[in-house]
Amino acid sequence: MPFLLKNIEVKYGDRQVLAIEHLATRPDAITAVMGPNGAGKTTLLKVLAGLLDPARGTVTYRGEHVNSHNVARLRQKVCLVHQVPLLFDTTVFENVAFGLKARRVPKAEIDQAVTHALNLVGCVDLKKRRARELSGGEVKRIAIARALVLNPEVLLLDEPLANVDQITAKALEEAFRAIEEQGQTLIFSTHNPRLAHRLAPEVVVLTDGRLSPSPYENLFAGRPIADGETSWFDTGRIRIAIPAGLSNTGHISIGADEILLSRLPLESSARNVFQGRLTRIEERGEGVLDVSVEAGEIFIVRLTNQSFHELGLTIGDHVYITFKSTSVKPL
Amino acid sequence: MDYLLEGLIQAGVLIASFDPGVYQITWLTLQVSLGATFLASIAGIPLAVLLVESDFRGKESMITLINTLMALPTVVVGLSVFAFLSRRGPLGGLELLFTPTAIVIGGFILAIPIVVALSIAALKGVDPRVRETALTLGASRWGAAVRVILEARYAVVAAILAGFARVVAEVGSALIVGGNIRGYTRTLATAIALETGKGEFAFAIALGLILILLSLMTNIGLRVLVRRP
Repeated sequence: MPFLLKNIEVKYGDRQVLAIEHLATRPDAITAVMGPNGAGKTTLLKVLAGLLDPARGTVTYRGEHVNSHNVARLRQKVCLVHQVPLLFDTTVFENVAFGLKARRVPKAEIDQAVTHALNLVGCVDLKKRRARELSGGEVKRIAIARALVLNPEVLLLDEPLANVDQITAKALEEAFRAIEEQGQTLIFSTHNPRLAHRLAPEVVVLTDGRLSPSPYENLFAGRPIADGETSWFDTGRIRIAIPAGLSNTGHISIGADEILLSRLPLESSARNVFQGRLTRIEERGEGVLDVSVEAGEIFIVRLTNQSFHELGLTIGDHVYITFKSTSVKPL
Repeated sequence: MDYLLEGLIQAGVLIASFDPGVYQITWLTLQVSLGATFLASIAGIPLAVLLVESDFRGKESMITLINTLMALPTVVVGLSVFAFLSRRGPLGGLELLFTPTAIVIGGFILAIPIVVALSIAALKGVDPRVRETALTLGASRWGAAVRVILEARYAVVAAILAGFARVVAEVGSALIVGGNIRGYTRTLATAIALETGKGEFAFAIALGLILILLSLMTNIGLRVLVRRP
């Protein structure tokens, strides 16, 4: 658990931009911070990077409280790459070497490490160029090399895949997986829910500076398989029938209000019917309920108070859930 | 109009002949001006960084005050330094009055508001991401400040040059605290004032040309220094 945030509050003037009661990041997986523009994603990353001191609350890194005395040590281990990165007005080499020089790494090692990092992002021939002469995509890649060269324990990337061409995006995605395999923690922000879920097993959703539940209901990870005429999505526990064209996705979601709940199997054309057990009932207000059904995977089913009472169900009852394959949406 | 032409010719002769008197005056002028500018820079630029980065009550008023001090009359500075350094003054025991050191002190006081005020303007113009990036890459607070100064190096050099220009060309303070002693505390500017007073226009113009030449060379020198990556 690299980071533990408690009762964090950040204000710009009078405006509260971040209010997080409790957040623990996972050490072993990529974490995505997802939310619309202005949700506080950048602010959160800056707090994690030790660049922004919250007005209230505590940040703990690997069991140690971060304060003004030891924040410099945190910054040696955690590195942030801005959404629109800034390269210093000098050569590409000097930019990538900056953090190593700050750490007083011997010169010979610096040369080697810089070349290696530039190779990783495919920019080794830019080494002697002036940073201010580069294109936007090159700037982004150099900025990531400048962070990678430091082998930080945690790499924070603010919207790394925004405004980059497809080739760069693909290269960066591969780089992220390599970083993860090396045991480094990667936390990135994005406004793109599909991207967040595709790359990160752990998704933190921010709305107006607060943590909020994922906008995706019944989100399952797995892989699509073609079995004769029917396309399936295998979650590892159950197989869900999906529309035929849906062959290239690692995540699916099913709207909670598109699933039917019944005591007995329904006679319908819907392809997905699962038997399960009712495990939880939660009031959502305005006469609506969310019901959890354990049917290999846990499904959330949304229905009105009235229809639920007409079914006369209680927790532990055996039920059936039914939904059409076209209700299954890829991420 | 003859004396203008005469001045130009005389300037050429003086420069070409390495007139020892002129050479000595020029050398002293360069020494005291560079000394005062150097001191004003090593004190003023960090002060500007501190003022830009810190956040305290009255910060804007303080910056306004510094901006106002840029217009400090040189004679007022000369008078104040004189008051401190004269025998009866608090620092009279140091016996610095009418020495080149006294001229440096006066020049320092004249240059520092300029260096600070213009450096503040320069540093404020630097993208805030420069500091953040330097810090997140593991630089110390001081290392990050140096990076910010380097990003603004052209404007900071302009601030230093403005400070130098103020010192090299000023008469009021150098005259009062230096005393215009021939061969000891006579600078180009005080010499020009003296020669003009004596009616030696051509000689004064020659000295003036040398002064401009000196400024030009200093400017070129500093520009070349910052052109490195």
